[in-house]
Amino acid sequence: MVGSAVYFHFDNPLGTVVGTRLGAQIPINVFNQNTSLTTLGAAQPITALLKVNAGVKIAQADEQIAQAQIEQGKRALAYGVEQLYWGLLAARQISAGAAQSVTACEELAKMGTSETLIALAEARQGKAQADNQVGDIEGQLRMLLDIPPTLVLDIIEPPLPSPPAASADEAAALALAISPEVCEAGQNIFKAQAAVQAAKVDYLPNVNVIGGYANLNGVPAIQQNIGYVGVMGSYTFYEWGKRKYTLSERETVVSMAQLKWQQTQDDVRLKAMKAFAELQQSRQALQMAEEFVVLRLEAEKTATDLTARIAATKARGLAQVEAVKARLAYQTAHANLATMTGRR
Amino acid sequence: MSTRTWRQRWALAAAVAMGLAAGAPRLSAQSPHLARLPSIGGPEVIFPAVARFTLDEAKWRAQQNSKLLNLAILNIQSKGYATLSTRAD
Repeated sequence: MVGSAVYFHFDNPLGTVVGTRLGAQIPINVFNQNTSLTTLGAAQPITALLKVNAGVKIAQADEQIAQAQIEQGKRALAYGVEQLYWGLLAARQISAGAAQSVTACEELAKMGTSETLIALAEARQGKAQADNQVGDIEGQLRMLLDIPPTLVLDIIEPPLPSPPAASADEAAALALAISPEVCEAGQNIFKAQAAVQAAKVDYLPNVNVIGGYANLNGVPAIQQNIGYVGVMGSYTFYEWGKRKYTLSERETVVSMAQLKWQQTQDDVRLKAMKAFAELQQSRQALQMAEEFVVLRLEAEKTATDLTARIAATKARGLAQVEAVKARLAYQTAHANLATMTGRR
Repeated sequence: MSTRTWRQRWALAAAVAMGLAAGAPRLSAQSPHLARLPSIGGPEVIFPAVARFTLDEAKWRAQQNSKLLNLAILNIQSKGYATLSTRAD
């Protein structure tokens, strides 16, 4: 809706015509010396409304894409935190085991043999490495959680989580249902289809409805208050194929978006199935590693001479470290699949 | 008599203010994250305070602290305004 106001003052009268009023002939101004024109009008493009509709669809799809991207970011962040959380727990366990090894080796080192002294040195080296790892992981987690170094970071180990899906197919179906990547790809199809709709509008005639009010105070021969409504239309008959090529281009973009959506679905399905397989494998590896620790503990108990005891203790420590690593691998694989499927 | 009372009051207020001013740096010099164990006869024990997190709490806190996520939330808001602006055309 628009309004305007114009005022003129002419330096001389602009002439008169003779008119008749009440039977008498009198001169009437063609234009008054003081003339004003005030208008208030509204125009509504009808054809363009279809383009606006397409534009709204594109804007809404953009909004949905932004939502999908934030969901993707949230998941990536949660997965990162989970990896660090489990990693810190594992590193602290390894560090605690290494500390026990150092204590045990210090007792043995009192014998003063070269073997025991070497074992002590190795144990201390292992402890230092484990501590470094704890420091690295803890530093990253502190940064993500914004915890100052003066605070002791205490994390609580939850029980070992059960698999979020019973089969690879179930995992794939769950992942497809909530995947932000698939959602984004689907919204890109909507956007491309809306762009095609907008391109098709160019084939329609351009129609505008107008209406308004004008106040003309300067021409005595016509009425002062004027109201009007009207329709304006135009049509482009030929423009060297621009509309046709634009439409073809946008239809190609729709095909591309559909292909991308299918490819994203395949990708998500494949990733979910792979994550499920990794979870199964890591679960088996964890069971074997824990069994191995039990066997190593028994072997340590039955070792008789000093050399065999040192070797058995070392082997038991390594088996425990491997068990912790296998547990971490299972927890990480679980976190990956849980992130994909949205199930805890 | 009344003048002396006001003087006394001013002196008391000044003493309180000075006491607060003297105490303030000492308080701020301590780390806010240090907890003080009440000592019974022995030396005062200061130990670091503990931040305890479950896995879910850690995830929540990381999301709250993430600048990138906050940026993405603003991006959604801007897209919402863009939709409203397009609808108004």
